[in-house]
Formats: sequence, C-alpha cells, structure tokens
Amino acid sequence: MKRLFIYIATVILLAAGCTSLDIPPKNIITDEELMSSQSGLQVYLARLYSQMPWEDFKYIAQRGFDGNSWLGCLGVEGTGEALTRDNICTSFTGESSSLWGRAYTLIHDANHLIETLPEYKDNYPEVAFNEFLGQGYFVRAFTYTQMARRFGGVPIVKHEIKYPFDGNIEVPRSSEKDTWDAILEDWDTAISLLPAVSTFADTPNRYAALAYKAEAMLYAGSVAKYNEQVSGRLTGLGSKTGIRVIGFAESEWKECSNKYFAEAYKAAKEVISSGMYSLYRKSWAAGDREAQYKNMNDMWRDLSSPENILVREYEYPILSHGLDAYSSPWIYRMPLSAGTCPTEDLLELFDGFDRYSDGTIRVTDGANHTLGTYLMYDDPMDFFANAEPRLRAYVIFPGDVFKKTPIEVRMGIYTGSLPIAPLRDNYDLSQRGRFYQHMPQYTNEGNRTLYLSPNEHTGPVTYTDVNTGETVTTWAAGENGPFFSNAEATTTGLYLRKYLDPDRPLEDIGEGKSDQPFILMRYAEVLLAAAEAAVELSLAGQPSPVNDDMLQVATDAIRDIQNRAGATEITSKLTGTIASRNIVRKERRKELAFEQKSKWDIRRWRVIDERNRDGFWGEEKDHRPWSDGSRFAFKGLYPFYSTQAGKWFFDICYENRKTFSYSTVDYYFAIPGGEVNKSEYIDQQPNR
Amino acid sequence: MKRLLIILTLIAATTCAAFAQKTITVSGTVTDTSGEPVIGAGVQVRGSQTGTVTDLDGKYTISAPSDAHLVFSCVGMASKTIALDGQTTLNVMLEGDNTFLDSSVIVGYGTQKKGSLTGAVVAVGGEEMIRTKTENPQNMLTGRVSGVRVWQKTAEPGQYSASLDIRGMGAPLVVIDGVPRDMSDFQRLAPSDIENVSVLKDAAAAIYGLRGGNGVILVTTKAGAAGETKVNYNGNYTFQTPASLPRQMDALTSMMLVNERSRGGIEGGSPEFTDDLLELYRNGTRTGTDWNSLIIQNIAPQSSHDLSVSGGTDKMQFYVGMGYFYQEGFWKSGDTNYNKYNLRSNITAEIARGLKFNVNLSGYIEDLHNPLDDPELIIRYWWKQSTIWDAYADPEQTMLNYKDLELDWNSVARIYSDISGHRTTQRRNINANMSLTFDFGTITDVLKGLSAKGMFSYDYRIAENETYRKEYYQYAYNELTGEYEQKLYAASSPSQLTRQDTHDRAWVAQALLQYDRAFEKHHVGATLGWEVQKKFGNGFRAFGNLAFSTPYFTALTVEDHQVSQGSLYEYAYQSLIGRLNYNYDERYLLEAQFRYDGSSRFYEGHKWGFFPSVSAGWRISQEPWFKSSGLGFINQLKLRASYGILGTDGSDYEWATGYTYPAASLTDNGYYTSNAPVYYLGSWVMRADPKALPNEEITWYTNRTFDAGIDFEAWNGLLGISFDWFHRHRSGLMARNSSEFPTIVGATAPLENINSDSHFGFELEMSHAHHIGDFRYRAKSMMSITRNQYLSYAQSTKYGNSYDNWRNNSMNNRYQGIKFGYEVVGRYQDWEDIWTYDLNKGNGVRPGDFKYLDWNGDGQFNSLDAHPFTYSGTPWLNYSLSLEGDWKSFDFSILLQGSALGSVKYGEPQLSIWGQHGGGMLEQFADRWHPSEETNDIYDQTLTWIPGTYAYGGDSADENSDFNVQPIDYLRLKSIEIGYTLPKWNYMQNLVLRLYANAYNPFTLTKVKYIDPEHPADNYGRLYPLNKSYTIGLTVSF
Repeated sequence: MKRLFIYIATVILLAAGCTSLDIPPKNIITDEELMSSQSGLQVYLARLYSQMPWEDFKYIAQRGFDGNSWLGCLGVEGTGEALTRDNICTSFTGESSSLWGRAYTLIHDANHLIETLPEYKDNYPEVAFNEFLGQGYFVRAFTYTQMARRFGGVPIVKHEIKYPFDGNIEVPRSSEKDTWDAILEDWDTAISLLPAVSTFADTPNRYAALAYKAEAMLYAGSVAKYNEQVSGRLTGLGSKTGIRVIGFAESEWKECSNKYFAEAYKAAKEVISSGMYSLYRKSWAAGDREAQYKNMNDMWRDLSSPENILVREYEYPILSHGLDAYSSPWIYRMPLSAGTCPTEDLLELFDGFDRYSDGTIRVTDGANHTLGTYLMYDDPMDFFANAEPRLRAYVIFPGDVFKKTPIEVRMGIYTGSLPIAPLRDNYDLSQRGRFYQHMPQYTNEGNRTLYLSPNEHTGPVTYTDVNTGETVTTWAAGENGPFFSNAEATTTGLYLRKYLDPDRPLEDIGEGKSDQPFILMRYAEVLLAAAEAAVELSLAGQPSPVNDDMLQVATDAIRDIQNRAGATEITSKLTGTIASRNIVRKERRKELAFEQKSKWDIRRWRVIDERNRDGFWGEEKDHRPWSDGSRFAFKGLYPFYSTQAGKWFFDICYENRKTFSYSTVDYYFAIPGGEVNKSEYIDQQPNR
Repeated sequence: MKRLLIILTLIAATTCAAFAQKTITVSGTVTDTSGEPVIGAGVQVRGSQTGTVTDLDGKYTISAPSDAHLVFSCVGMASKTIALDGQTTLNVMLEGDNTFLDSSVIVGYGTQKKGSLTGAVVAVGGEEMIRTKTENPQNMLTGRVSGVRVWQKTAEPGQYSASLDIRGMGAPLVVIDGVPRDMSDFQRLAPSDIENVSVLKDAAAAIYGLRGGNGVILVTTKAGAAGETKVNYNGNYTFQTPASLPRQMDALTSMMLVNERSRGGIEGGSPEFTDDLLELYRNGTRTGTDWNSLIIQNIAPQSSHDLSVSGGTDKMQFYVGMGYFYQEGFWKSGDTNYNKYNLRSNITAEIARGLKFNVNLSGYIEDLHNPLDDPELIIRYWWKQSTIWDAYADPEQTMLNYKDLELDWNSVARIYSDISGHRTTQRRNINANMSLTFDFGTITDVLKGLSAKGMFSYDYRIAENETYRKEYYQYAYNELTGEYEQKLYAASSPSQLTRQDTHDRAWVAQALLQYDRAFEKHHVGATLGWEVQKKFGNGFRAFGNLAFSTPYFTALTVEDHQVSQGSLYEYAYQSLIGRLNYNYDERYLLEAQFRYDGSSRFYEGHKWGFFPSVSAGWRISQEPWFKSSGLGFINQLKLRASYGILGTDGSDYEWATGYTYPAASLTDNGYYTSNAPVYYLGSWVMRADPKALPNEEITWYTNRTFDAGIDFEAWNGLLGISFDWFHRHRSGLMARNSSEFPTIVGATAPLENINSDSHFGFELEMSHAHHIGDFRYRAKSMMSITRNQYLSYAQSTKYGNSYDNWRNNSMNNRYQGIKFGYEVVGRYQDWEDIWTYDLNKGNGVRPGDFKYLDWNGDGQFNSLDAHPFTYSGTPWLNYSLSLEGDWKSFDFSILLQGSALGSVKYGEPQLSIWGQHGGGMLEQFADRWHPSEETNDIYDQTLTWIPGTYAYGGDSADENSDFNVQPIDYLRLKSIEIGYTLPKWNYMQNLVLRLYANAYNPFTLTKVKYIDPEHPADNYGRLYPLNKSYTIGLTVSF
C-alpha cells in the first residue's frame, strides 16, 4: 500500500515537473521552408495562382471572384451574348464580392515573393530564379490590370508593407494614368524575366505576359480615348486627394492613348512575330463547312492546341466546375440546365442568314418582321443551312445534333391555316411583357390555334400529320423547351455549345463534375489586339511603333480569323477609319463570345450607356429599337411547327424575363464603401 | 460484450440483497420544540428504503431491525437519527432546521458550508434535476438554477444542441469530479449518476483562473456510502412528438394558393393551374403527394435504463452505475437514431490509517446514425417540393420519382440510409481519476484539519465520423411512351466514403494541501495547490470514391482518394492555486483566493496571469443581538459581496509568423471552394496560406466580476429570498482591428487584446416549503435579467456619417439586445383604406397588406424608418417556477419556465412561400387575407375580403418588421411528473418501487404563431424540431 502511495505520488510529481509551457506551434511552415527550394516555391506559388482573379468557369460577373462555380454560365452579364433566368443575369456594373481586398492580399503575396526570393537567389540557377521572379511580376501586373479595369486609379503598392512598423503606411489612389503606367512597367518586367517556353504546365511564359500586356494596354488606350466620347468627358478628381482617380486630363489623354495603343501593338506583334502560336486548324479544311465547324468545336478541349497561350486546367475531382450541369440542354438536365441561352441578337452578328433591309434576320417574306407571311422550313436546321461554321460551334441551333442527339427545341405548335401571318402585329420593345402565352391565338381556348407548354410534359396537342395522314399526339413544346412557365429550359430558343463537353455522358454531368479546361488567353485574341491597336493608331495618325505595315498585319489577322471561322473574309485592306475599326470590333465580339471578354470590350469602347449604345455590337447599329432610356433587352429566336404545312417557321421576339440597365457612372465600379470610410486617403469615384 | 457485462452485474447485484434480520415493531410520537405534533414527518430506517410518515397526531409505527437507526425528518426541521437499541417506543422532538445552512456545497477544490458561503454559488441535487425527464443533463438544469440559461435548439438525437450559459456570459467551464472537462462530457453523463451540480457564478470561480471567466459548473458524481448494498434501477419509455413543426398544406389548397398568387399582378395574370386540373384534385381522382407523412413520423420512441449498485464498509465504499439510452428521430425511415451506453465505477478505500484512495472510472460509448443529409436539407426540400409532384414514379411506390422535382431531389430517398447513404458518429470516451488523500489529523491532533491530496486524471476520447454517399437511380413515367425511364441521381454519384477519426487526450495532475479547523470561534481554512494540465489532439480524415456501393475502403477506385490531417494540437497549463477562508463565529466571513496560471498558447513573457479574488459576508442573523431582538424567526440573513479578476485564453499561436499548409480543401470536389489546389508545375499542388500578422503581445483577457447579494430565510423555510446583483467587465477581448487596418497591406490584421464589454443584471430567487396535513410541498421561483453592453469593439468597417453610425454601429458603447426594423401599425382593410391612407406607397398595394409606421414622419415609408423596435433573439428575462410535493404515496413535480424581453424570428421558409408550382406552401400560409370568392380580378372593388395572418397569396411583411420578429414572451410547462410509490411488500421490506409519468414540454403559453418561441432562426429556420415528450417509467431500489 505504501508502495502504491509512493508510486502514485511520483507519477503526479513527475507529471507536474515535466510539463513545459514552451510547446512549439504545430503545423506552421516558415518562409525559409517555402522559399529555399523549388518544391517549397511550388506551394507558395500555388497560393498565388489559386487566388488569381481569373475570369473563367468559376467567375460570375454579378458575384465576382467568390471562387464558387455555382450556376456557372457564360456571357449573361448584359453583353447581349446570352441570358439566364437567375439574378446573376444583370449588367456588369459591379461585383457583389469586391475584388479590392482580395487583390491587395494577392499583391502582398506577390510583393513578398519579389522581395524575399532574392535572399535565396543562390539556391537556384539564374534561369529558374528569373522564371519564378517573373511569375511574381506576372501575378502583380495581372492583378493591377484587373483592378484598373474595374476602378480606374488604385493605390499602387510595390513593396511588402511591414505593419505596423512602417509608420504611416496609407497609400492613396494613384491617378488612372499613373496606375496604367505602373502596370505597364510590371508587364515589361515580367516579359523580361519570363522564358519563351515555361518550364511548368499552366504557368505563363514570356508570350503569355506579352498577350496580357496587349490586352491591358488596349484597355488603357481605349479608356483614354473613349472617355472623351462619354457625355461631359468621363474623368474627375478625388475629393480627398485631388488626384485624377478616373480618366485622363484633357491635355494628356491623346498622348496616353497613343502610347498605350502603341504598347499594345508592340506586344501583340512580338507574339505574332515569334511564330510560336497559330490558329487551331487541326481538323479544318478549306471550303468544308462541316470540318470548319468541327474544328472550332474541338479546339476548346485540346490542350495541345497551338493557339493556347495560357490555360487553366481542371481535373475532377480535385478542381472542377459545373458548366455542363448548368448550361446543358434540358434533356441533359443534371441538376439544372439552360444556364446560358444565346440571344438572337448575337446570331445577327454572324454570316449566313437572310436579312431584311435593316440588317435584321429575315423570318417572313415581307419587308419587315410584321409584314408578309412566315418563311417555312422542312426542318428547323434548314434555317441555319448557310450559317457561319463558327456560330454553329458556339451555339446549338434548334434541331442540331449535340451528344449524337438532335436537340429538339420548339416554342409551340401552330394549328391555324396557311399562309401564316406574323403571330403578333407589334414586336416592339414596349411589348416585351406580352409573350406567346398572352397571344389571343393561345388564350382563346375555344378557338386555339397556338399550343404552348407551360412546363415539361404539359400542353398536349393532337393533330393529323399532313405528310403521313397519321394522328399525332405530342407536347406543344419541344423536348428541350421553351416552356413558358419554366425558365429552366432555354428561354431564347438557343443553347450554348461552346465549352460544353460533347463527350460527357449524362451520368457524369453534375455540379462540380465538369473538368474541361478554360483557355484564358489564346492566339486569336492576340491577333485581334494587334488589329485593333493598329487601326486605332492609324486613326490617330500614328506610325507603327515597330516600323512595319501595321494595317497589313491587322488585315492579315482579321482574314486569318475569318478564314478559320468559315466566315466571309474581308476583301480590302483595313484602313485608319471608323469602318475598319468596326470590322475589327465586330470580329472581336464574334470570335470571343462566351469567353468572359466581351463585357470588357463594350466597357472600354464606352458603348453601353444610352448615348453611345449604337456601337454596342461592335458595328454601328441603331440602339433605339432595343433600348429605352438606360434600359435595354435582347431577343430570342423561337421555332414553331405548323401542323397544316407540316413545316417549321421562326419568330423573333424579345425574351420576356430580363432587361438590363447601364449608365455612364457604371464605367467605373464604385470603390467599396468600407474602404472609403476607413481611410483618410481612399477616394470614392468623383461621379458617385 | 458490453451488454453481457451489464447482465452479469445485474445478476450479481440481485443476489447480494437476499439476507434476513431480526425485526421489531417500533412506534412513538414526533413533536416540535413547542410540543405540537409534527404531521407528515418522515420516519425511515437508515440505510434502507423502509419508511413511514407520521399521522395527524404525530404518531408513527414502523418495523425495523432491532439494531437499526431511525431517521426522523420533516421539511424545515433538522433531521435526527436515533439508534433503536431494541426499544419499541421512541418519542422524538424535532428542532428548527439549520441543516440546510450547514449542508456542504461543492466549491472549487473543496467544499463549504452553505451558510457561510460568500460567493454566488448555487447547488442543485441530482434528484431534483432528474425530475425533468430529458436526454440531456443540460436541459435538466433549465429553471433549476437562477442565472443559468439553457436554450434547447433542437431535439435532434445525439446532437445535444442546447446552449448553456451563466448570466449570459458565454460558455462556462465544466469541471466533473474535480477535473476540467468538456460540456460534451456533461451532456452525456447518465443523469442518475449525478450526485449534485454546483454553479459558481461570480468571483468564486476565480480559483479556476484562466478559464473561469464565464463561470464554472462543478459536477460531482455519485459515490457509495458505508452500509447495506443498494441497488437502484430506473427505466423509462418516452414517446416524442415534434413541437411546432410547420408542415405542407394539401395539394388542392396549395394549388389554389398558387393560382391566387399568379392572379395578383397589376397587369392581371393567368392562373397556373386550370380548373380542369383542380377538379381532378377536388374529386379525388388525383391526390398529390403527402410529403408530410412520407418524411415525418409523428411519434418517435426513446428509452433509457439505468442501474446502479452502491454500498461498502467503513473502509471501502463503491458505486457502480450503468446506463443505456436510446433515442430515435422523427424521420419516417427511423434512420436517425442514437444509442448510448454509460459505465461508471467509483471506489474509495482507506488503504492505511488516514490515507484514502479513490478511483473514479467512467466511460461512454455512443453510436449516432443519420441519413446522409443534414436535417436542414431534408426539411428544406420537404417543404420546397410541390405536393403536386410525385414521390414515386409508379403507383406501387417501388420507384422513386425524379420528374418535376427541383434539382431532381426526392426527399424520400434522402431520409433512407439504405438508398442514399449515411452519416454516423461513434464516440468512445474514457475518463479516469485517481486520487490519494491523507488526513494528517490521524497522526497527531496538532495537525487536525490538515490534509493532502494528490490527483491524477486521464481522459481519452475517440470520435469516428463516417459519411457514406451511395449512388442511386430515380425514375420517371413517360406518358407518351408509357414506359418508365431511369436516371442516375447525379449528386449521388459516384459513391463516396469519408472517414474522420479524432483522438483527444488530456491529463491533469494536482497536488493540494488543505487545512480546515476551528479554534473556538475562529474558523480557518486554507488551500494551496499546484495543477498541471496537458491536452493533445490528433486525427485524420480519409476520403475516397468507391467503385461500387459498399461503405468500406475495400471498394476504393484506383484514383480519387485523399487523406488529410484532422485536428492537431498540444497545449499545456500550469497553475498555482491558493485560498484562505476565515470566519468568526460564523458571523463574519472572509475569503481570498488566487490562481497563477500559465498557458502554452501565448508567447514568452505573456504566458502567465495572476487572478485574485476576495469575498466577504456578514451573517446578521448570527449576531447575538439579532437573535435576542425578537427577529429570531429569521433563520438566515446574510449580506455578501465578491470581487475578482478572472482570465480567458483562446488564441492559437497568434504570435508566430509563417504559413499553414495545406490550406487547400478538397471537399465538394473543389467546386464550391476557391481553396482548391492549383495545377502547377505539371501536377496538382496544394497551397500554403500565410498566417495573420503576428502579435507577440497577445495574452489572456480579463474579466472583472463583482457580485453583491443578500440571503434571507425565515420561519424554518416558509420563506426564503435570495437576491444578487452582478456586473462583469471584460477587457482585452481578442479581435482584429480591420476597420483601422489598411487594406493595402494585403494581410490579415493581427489579433489584439482590444475589445471590451460589460454584463450586468440581477437574480431573484424565492422559496417556500410547507405542509398541509400530510401534503408536503416545496415551491421555488427564480428570475434573472441580464444585459450586455459592448464598450469598445474593433469593427470591419468605419461609418461614413452619424446616421450610419447610429444605424449600423452596434458595437461601440452600445447596449445589446435590441433590434432595428419596422413596426406594422395595421393592415389595409379595403380599397377605400388604400386610397385614403395618408402615406406615400408604391403601387401594387392590396387589402391585407401591411401598414408600416412612418417613424421619422416624412410622409413615406422607407429604410429610414428603421428604428430599434424590439428585443434581440436572446431574451433578457428568464424565469421559472418549480413546485414539488408529496401526499401519502404520491409525489409530483412541476416546472414552469419562461422568457421575456426577447424576440423570435421567422426563418426564410416561414417568411414567404419558398418554392414554385405549389412548393413551399406551409399550412400557415392558408391563414391569409383573400377575397371571399376566387376571382381573376382582385381589383374588383365589390369583393369582400376575409382577413388572415398573412397578406394576400401568403405574402409576408418586411423581414425586419414586428410581423416577422415577434416577442418571445412565453411561459411553458417544461416538465410535469406524477409518481406513485407502491406500498411495502412484507417479504421484501427494502424494496421501493415507484411508478411515474412525466411530460416534457407539453404545453406553452405564447403569442408566437406557428413556431416554437425558443426556435432560433438558425439554418434559415429549417431546424430539426424540438420535442414534446411523454414518459412512463419506474424506479426500483432495494
């Protein structure tokens, strides 16, 4: 017993005596561990790249960079490319989760790399050191570009701030000019450090930096120039600092614009001259529309494409997105569908459609949409027989094949007599609230000639087939809608094809199951950037910054793209004119649709506000039919089946769910209120 | 194995009670000091359950062994124990009771006499607690201790989701048998193992130093006593029913309401469902889907069995308790269920003269089984999917339907584990304490009162969580082809298994020197101790896709598995503990205590904190002049006050710089998260995240606690009053000063000791004990009010102007517990009322819509009319009334409990119809303003409107209005119990058999409509419901 006592007492005393309070923290990694070896640097850079404000499948303009791919869809932020039912379908006037704070975190991490890595320079051969350091500059340049595109002038921090030891560390917003100059400097540093061929997959090389520099400088040059065309000149001084936080001074905008366009041209031209990249033509064949369509349909998933400059890869289940789960046609609904419904307005940009004299797509034999009777087609695909192969690779036409299955899209069935006059006498914007279910042909139940489906498997129709004489019973709407009460099938009559995975079986579709890559930067955009910069420089009477025939480069670039797309090629050389500029702009809107780029283009061209909206589509087009004050709307293309003709006809009318609005203040996002409130230095936009 | 052990012990226990003794009959009279007979006094044979009660003349008769001791007791009087020594007549005089005041109360590292306490310490006995029949001992404290607030959020089996605080101060420290343990250990104690619970509410908790800032709950478990071996069995069976759980309305009503809603537009509208379709439902051709009965079972079983054996000799005492508890959830599948097994053995032996050895071993095993989905998701889609959509594709109900259902989500599949998979949690917990106590008084009288104690405890906890997602198909009937089509439910594929194992260990070593001795009228007590604690945690998580549906990693696919580190920590604490007590003649009481605490979680130089406290009391009732002043009927009148400084730690290595790795999360397939790894350098790389900026100065924050109280008791218990005023000021609370921290730094602001706040309030407790004839009863009521004020708080933003500051700054120098919003002042009665009502309103206003108060009087209603209009979700005022009594063989207990000065908010689905095509139609929405007849033109002025709670179409008022945020005020019958003790059996005198029936939460008085007033808006109001439960049970002891 005594022994037990002693034993227990010893245990207690030992326990008491051996407990130290100096317990090192578990699982905290040091700077040295990360910076002194390549494997550690991978981990450090993995953070940078995972935080990069890439605009890809995980980015939704309305929400911002919340890293979430829920409801992920493309082109719905008021670019006119597509519509979706959810409230993420709004004009690009701000992001609910602001980039501001995230950007400075990322800039801090890039600054830390840029400042700390030199301490470990001896651990690396010079090429490796330069490549890693160059990535730091790339990250910083890209982040500042994303900030400047949103806010104009922002605080420029190019060193790691040591809080709280650096004293007064507040940095006010720089002027927009200084901001773009600082960005230019970072891009040039990144270009000088990065190798021609990156050592590691999915990391930028010199040409990626050049391509992004071209994109950034095109933005800067456009803003400097087109701010002047916004009524009252779009510029102003911060109320706290007096710094010109948005826009350019009257005395300097021209010079700045020329400088930035020249930098853009130089950068793009360097990529072109390198010969490292070319447009994807793996299965392309001259004059073969089917091959051209297939070629452009395949290129999004081909990681070996010579067109890819920078790609973000996904791999299920490590990193995935849900494009197929949200934007597939209704019959591939898993769990949603039709998140991206391309508009008829987008179609109108492309070649291969009959048109009325005002350029709009023809659906009747009259002089305009309300006149004459409908043109009839044996098969809905006949309507698209001559459509540009590129368009077919971007959009699923009603009746076209996707995943080896014809995608049946039918707004309704018309049982009235022939010939068929336009379903409504007024297709104006003011009538957009009245949709087909409000037409008397439908609502008059006793004498109904128009059959529609409010939902899937509703609205049965029985008729006698004029060709076979058989009695047919079917649903009024096609298998893939549209259903007028249910916006989860297409609401425009069209579905997205671009970027959807055509080989993915139904059971592999799902939220977080898609893993096709997103091409962040491709050669076609570089060509377009070169062309636009060249025409802009020429318009301003500037010579080529590299002493070449820049208009010839521009013309070749546009022709190359059009040729690959199967579109009608321009026949004459581009000149320094508005008309040539618009050829380039329109080509850009067509080529880069659904790639998260157009929202920036219409912004930098300053063509969304009511006064300048004629230029919205890249070409000059009267905005009044489709816009009313600050608001504007887009149209759908709705196929109908006529039972008496046994044929199809198409109707074009405003989609009845979504309108957008935009005014000039929206060309710069508001600075987050909290940032303005908490700092003595951070100015709100002067026009807000 | 476990069950076998229980059975064996049962057999052993029953055999040891069978022995006989020589029995004699004893009778006599019990009187009080004035010679009056005492009616209803208890007469009991010590160490047995044999007993009787005195009659109207104070007389009793009882059979007892000739060498027995009889115990005489009565409420308000001191008990007396008298040895029979063969006497057959025994008259007894009982005196006024002071035992209550002399009874011991467990305080930190010791006990004190209740009468000489100087701190706000309240004890509640285990017997009193188990009068409330519920699975969680926390809920048993509800209404039993003033100032202890218990808020049961749900009755979900195995979740123990109640929050408990003392005086609104935050989660208290839980100490079980002298060892700091977790609230989860307290929640899982077998209720019948609890001897008593002490709650230290003020500076009395300062002896727990670093972590006593929110008060301390001290739990003591049962121990054996010398004497006959006692066996106690308590078994009960409970029927649970869901309380205030909203349900879907029937298909026809919901379709009519959908039509009503689609008619309401200004441009007119067309009803979604045609009359033909409605007719099919009206005449019963179609019925829709009754999701309510497919998802919810209205009665869910629960049962518990506890068995204990205790006894011992003067040298050795033991207590062994075993318990089994089962609870099933409300899902129709029964796949939420919970099993818990408890075991406890407490043995004390005097191994040498003056040297006592105690070992208290306890453990529990719990198995919790759930369907794959959280209750929130199940309830969300139960309410959201339309009743006109099918649950099954075929009439025979063999194929689950997916057609029409939102996101293809069929809730029926989600509640059945054999279809969609499961979530299980298994916990194994072992707590072991060993202690040695040596009484120096046994060596020499000089050292009388001095004792030393060494204690070592070791706790080990293993938790295994398993989540198994199972792939399944759903079906749809194609009306055109007449065939069934199958579709894989995408979100269920592929099958996946996640296992997470967590191991937590903690040990405590204590060495205590205690002294307690009276020198004539001077009473001196002292405690000095050294305590060391260490805590470790480690665990891992494994995840993998499965090639086929079997919930083991044997089915792993070639790719797609991950293993990651789970919790990982190691902390140590060292403490020096001291206390001095002095009282003079039990009149003047003084206590001082301190604790010097070191924590490994802070940086060098900031690890240690000193936490002193003092308290004093004056028992006026003990003054000679008071006793002789004619106020002698006052048994106790005491003034007391305490003040102390306590601390709290909590930060985790905020002084260190560096990175955490891996920061990437692989859940959700990297799809919802931005933290996914990056494809870089040709492979997938996880990232490291920098820690927040370091702060080497970070240290414990301080709680300055003041309490002043008065205790009063008179007429031997006829009236007792206790009142406490308390105030706690906390400073140095940890926060990140983001509102000052420049964003451009690009890092996370350091954690600093910058915030401060204060809590204050009072508690009032009144008690009354009496008997009317042989009906004896005790009543106790209590009430407490707590308020909280934030003094200075770092915030994430700064305010742009003074209105903004007034409206949105709730953190700096602001009282808490109020809510901004709008007041509804009435409803638009008819069109005339809408036209003439003198307030600028938008179009689209209809009869039954809400009129809001134009608070700022600017003639229009908008966000500027928001003002403080009600209390926040945490009620300021809590009160309770308990009533206990017995009459002959019957006993009863009633606990009423309530709250006021708080509010309860509708969650999202109760706020408005949250669903489409007939989904989201909860029964309550039928109670709405609507025209007396169905019409397509609700703007017809001739219509008669029928008023209801909601507006037309089930519309609701602004989310932040007093329509949706209602006063919580309620009074609820928390527990009611009636027991009947069977008469004695001659051949088994010791046997006591009590039958009882209990109802928990049966009845609530409140104005809150459609939800339970205690129901928080957590998870948007889609919480697993509270339960009302009805229990029958029996207690057997011998």
